[in-house]
Amino acid sequence: MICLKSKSLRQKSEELDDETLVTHVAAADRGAYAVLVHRHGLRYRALAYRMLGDMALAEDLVQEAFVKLWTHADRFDAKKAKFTTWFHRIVVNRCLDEKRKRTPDPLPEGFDQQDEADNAEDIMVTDGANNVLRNAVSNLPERQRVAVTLSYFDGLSNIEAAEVMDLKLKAYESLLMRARAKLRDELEGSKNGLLAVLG
Amino acid sequence: MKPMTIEEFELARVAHGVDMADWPSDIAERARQFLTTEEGAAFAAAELSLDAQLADMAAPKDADAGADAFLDRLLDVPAQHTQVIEGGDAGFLSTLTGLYRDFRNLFSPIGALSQGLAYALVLVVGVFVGLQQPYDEESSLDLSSTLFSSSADFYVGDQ
Repeated sequence: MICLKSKSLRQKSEELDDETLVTHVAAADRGAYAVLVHRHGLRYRALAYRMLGDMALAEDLVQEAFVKLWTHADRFDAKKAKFTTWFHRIVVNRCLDEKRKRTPDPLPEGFDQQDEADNAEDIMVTDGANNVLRNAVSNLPERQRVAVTLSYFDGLSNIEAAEVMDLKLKAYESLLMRARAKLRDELEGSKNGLLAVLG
Repeated sequence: MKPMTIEEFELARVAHGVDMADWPSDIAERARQFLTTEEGAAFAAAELSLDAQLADMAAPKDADAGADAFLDRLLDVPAQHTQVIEGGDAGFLSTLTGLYRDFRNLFSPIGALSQGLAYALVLVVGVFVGLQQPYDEESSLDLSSTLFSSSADFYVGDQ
């Protein structure tokens, strides 16, 4: 196996596909690892941020995933999946685990919670329509939210996203369709609410 | 031609993308007819609005903030973490763990056959070694002789 540690070989490695680079990483090739970091690091940070809404946490989780890539690259089997599919699964599953862990603390007994929610007009004026969509996305069921994130924010094709979620293509398309229907309903409801407030 | 429903139009958009030029011709033709209806036009407008908002949301404003520092963190990983080389110079514990991991191989056809052969070999060797030993009457011991003081004990029940 050609080692990519020297600078010239590292430049050549830019032309190698991800799967070949991972085999180099398994042989402790830091150059190949660096190419993968530059090629995918920010993309996965954005994906984790989309799922968690917390940049510091997203960075920590993606770093964990890259640690796993470095320490256990030999576990990757290019015959079973593309590198990006494998790595997407690692990042997405880790984000879902983290979200499940972060359940809100219960309020103390007798605490009278003040309703701090803005009305529809305030939301539209202060935060813009995007916030309505952001809230709608975050209110989707977990699998629908992941599907929307992979397809519309991460730019995966339906086939790639279905592989990441371990679904048949038709099942994935059906999931995405249900998510879109919910988002449309939320946006429509929000619009009607605003019109009602404005009279 | 059967008129297209909202669900069919939506599924076609999800399956074939937003550009109807990429759709199969028969589906695209039905979709065009659907869009001429009032219901179709209203639905398409809602879909376009949703697509536009999703696209707008897809590009976070602070996507590049701290990007260099983050990439540096990732590039430091090899210096901070040792690679786990399976099957390499592993310690005793790792070797034991590896054996346990391979436990399921025992139940593969080759594993079962190997086990059968190993048992048969041990049996044959054991019998062979046993046959090589001469019968030694001195070393044999009748344990039952110590259990009863006399043969009369056998007949207690008859009295």
